[in-house]
Amino acid sequence: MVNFEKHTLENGLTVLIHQDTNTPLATINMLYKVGSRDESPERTGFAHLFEHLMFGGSKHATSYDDVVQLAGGDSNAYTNSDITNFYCTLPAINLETALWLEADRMQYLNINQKSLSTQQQVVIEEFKETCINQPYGMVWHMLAEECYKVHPYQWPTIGKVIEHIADAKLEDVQKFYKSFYGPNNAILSIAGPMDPASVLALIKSRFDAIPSRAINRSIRLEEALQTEARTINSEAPYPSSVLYLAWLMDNRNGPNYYAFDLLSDVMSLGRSSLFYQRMVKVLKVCAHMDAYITGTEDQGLFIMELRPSKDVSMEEMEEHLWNELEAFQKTEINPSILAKLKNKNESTVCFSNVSASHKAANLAYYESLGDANLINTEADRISEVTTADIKRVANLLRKDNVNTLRLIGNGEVVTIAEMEDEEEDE
Amino acid sequence: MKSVFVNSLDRIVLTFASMAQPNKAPNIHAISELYLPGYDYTTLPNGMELFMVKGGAEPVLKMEIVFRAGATYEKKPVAAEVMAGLLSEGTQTLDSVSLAEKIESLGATIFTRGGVDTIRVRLLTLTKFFPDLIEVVTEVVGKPAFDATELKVLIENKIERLKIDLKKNEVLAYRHLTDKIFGPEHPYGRNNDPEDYEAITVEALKTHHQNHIIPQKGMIFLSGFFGEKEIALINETIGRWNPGHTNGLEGLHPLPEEIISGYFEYDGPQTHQAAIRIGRRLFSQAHPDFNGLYMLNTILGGYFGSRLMMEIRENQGLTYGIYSSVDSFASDGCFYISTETATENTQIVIEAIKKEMKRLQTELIPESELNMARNYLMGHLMTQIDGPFATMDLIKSFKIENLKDSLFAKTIEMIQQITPNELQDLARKYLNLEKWVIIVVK
Repeated sequence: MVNFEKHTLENGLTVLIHQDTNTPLATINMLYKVGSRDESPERTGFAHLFEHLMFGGSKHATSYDDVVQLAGGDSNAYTNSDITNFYCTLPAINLETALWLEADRMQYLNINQKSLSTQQQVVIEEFKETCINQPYGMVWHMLAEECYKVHPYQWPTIGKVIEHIADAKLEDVQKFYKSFYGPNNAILSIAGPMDPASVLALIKSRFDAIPSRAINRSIRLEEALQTEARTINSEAPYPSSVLYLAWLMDNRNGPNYYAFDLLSDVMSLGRSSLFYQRMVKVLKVCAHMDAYITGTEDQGLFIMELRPSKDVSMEEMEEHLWNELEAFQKTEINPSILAKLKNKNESTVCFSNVSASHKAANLAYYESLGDANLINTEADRISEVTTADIKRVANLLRKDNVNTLRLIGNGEVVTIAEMEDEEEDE
Repeated sequence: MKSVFVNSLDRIVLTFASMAQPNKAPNIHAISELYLPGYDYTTLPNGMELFMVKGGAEPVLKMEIVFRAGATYEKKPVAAEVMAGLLSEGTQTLDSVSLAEKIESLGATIFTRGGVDTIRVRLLTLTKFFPDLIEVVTEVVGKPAFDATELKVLIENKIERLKIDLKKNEVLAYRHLTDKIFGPEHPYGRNNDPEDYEAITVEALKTHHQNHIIPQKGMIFLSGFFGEKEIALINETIGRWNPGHTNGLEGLHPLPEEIISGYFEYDGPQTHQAAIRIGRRLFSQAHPDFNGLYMLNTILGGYFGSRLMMEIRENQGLTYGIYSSVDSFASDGCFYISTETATENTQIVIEAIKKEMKRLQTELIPESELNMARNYLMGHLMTQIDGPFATMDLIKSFKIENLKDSLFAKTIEMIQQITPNELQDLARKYLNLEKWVIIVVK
């Protein structure tokens, strides 16, 4: 059980405070409800680029990093399609320093051409290092574009193309800061040994004076119900062939969300999972098999990822997979499988709650979904899923609504070549 | 249990900023003292040592069994790594699937891995299920199946993964670096090829297991939420495991006499970015200069505020990341810098790195910069002793590398007291490029 206090300041800042007396460190987690889904299609990758600029110093703290390091802290941030999350862990005695830094960059960020130009170059190198220069680094670009036709999830957080990052202008940066980085679009979550009442007083002293801002968010279109199968075959010097099958599924609050989440675990979590056992251990047609969900706030994806065994063709593996799926869809699984996953889930939650910084991040994340207390109740929601639910959602994974992506490497012959290898060439 | 922190919780007094000055910088409090947390220790009936760190609010524990049985002890390449991988693929009473089922039905995880110095078997579980798992873990360690079919699957997978890795410039660059620093024969330097995996047999694995997975070469590290009951169970199971006569052969892999330095460039599979690795051989953590180099490395490239990161990323925007590291093994070590940059900027980046290495030899580090690194390291070390799991990881590294507990206090003392002059002497001694090798893969 993670106990916490929730407060909302007059300017709209949501504050969550969790006391953990087992640690001498404090974690300050600031989540802004902005991600790559809020970008314009011509300026993809911008939310992440902006995350880099948040470390460029502010009016009263000319260097963010120097101050954190002087205070014995470590900080970083990440951006995904839905949120941008900043965190700092430091000796609890220096909590106020971290609060001051967060408040100052929320109100008085230094935005200048030098900082923008440098971070544009840095992010372009990041794009190359994590995508272009990796053997499978462009998979997400291809898959996202295949599965999403109108929703901004059609581009990855790093950006669709390098040019979008290179073309960003200073006025875009100012506009983005104004539109999304107000206290009323943020969740501040603190975990550490300090007394919550003193922490709240400190937060108020640092954040109360920051005015709220008009949040300027574009409307996102929903994907239409997919009624046709889509296929991309990408032939390139991949080290080995890989098959991706992806289906659109519920959003994070949708009625089938937890059933899909569990279904992916039933299929492939651990070596005793059903599809892993059948495909890898018994039929031996896969060298690797995984099923997972993207877990996004808007409509997500249910993905299966499979690599054929040595000397097994993609076609043969696919045929086996569809046969297995068909058989699976006809029967209900043994309830002992759900009992097993309940144990796994209990264990995962406990291990995650060992770390105060995880708790701070999770509280903020769940609050961004609408309820911080999901940190305590989500396990119960998952355990409400029945074997009938699993069967029902498994039957939503069909051949007539699947997005297939075949990466063909190893000199295998491509049968349907309709995919040009995009963006790999400069 | 000993008290962990001088800055105990009752000394953390939060001060209030004036309401009129919400923008004013708060005072920064420096952490000046830290102590290695206490741990318990016992010897099991079969002679294995058990180290324990109790604590935490969650009902979970971690047990790690470590054997001095890594690649440095193997007769055939990859024997240690493959043997370790196969430990969790079935025992003499449970086949691979039944073993997985048994562990996973309780929500637990068993993880086995072979490194250069050690082989590790790690169990993560809810404490309430520990009694149902300890015998399984004992079997995983002592009575593996070494099934030929499982071996074939494991090897195919290892080869596939290696083939993927060999398509990455950064992996190739690191392989060339260790080859040059430690030579192609010693396990610290040698690089596994697909043929090494293809050549491995069940017999080689059994030999390695018989010779090295023995109580005399093992240690157990238990951390988290546990009590007398769990300790007693360990005593009765793995504590009584005794595989009988073994010879415990030591590895005989000589390290090279010759130092290779200079510039080496290779064609890589990826052309957009070059991977750069610049490194030299060092020594194990027991060496008297190691501590000081920990600070010198921090300032050069060991944290975000380091010179390499500030100059090459934050000032010039030439890379997404650049780091230097001091890696230590049980009997040796190395110091290296790593980064990736646009292919056309390779020489600019190498020159910038050389300049920073030179500058540390010719100019004294300003006190303000040293102070920032000091404070950062003290906070960093606090995270390394934050809670039973982190604490045990630190103690484990001490035991594996045969270091005295007093090294922790010496490290703290060094962080607090080392001077710019001492750091300059170390820079002159160790950052001299004549002994460094430069690897570029592009």
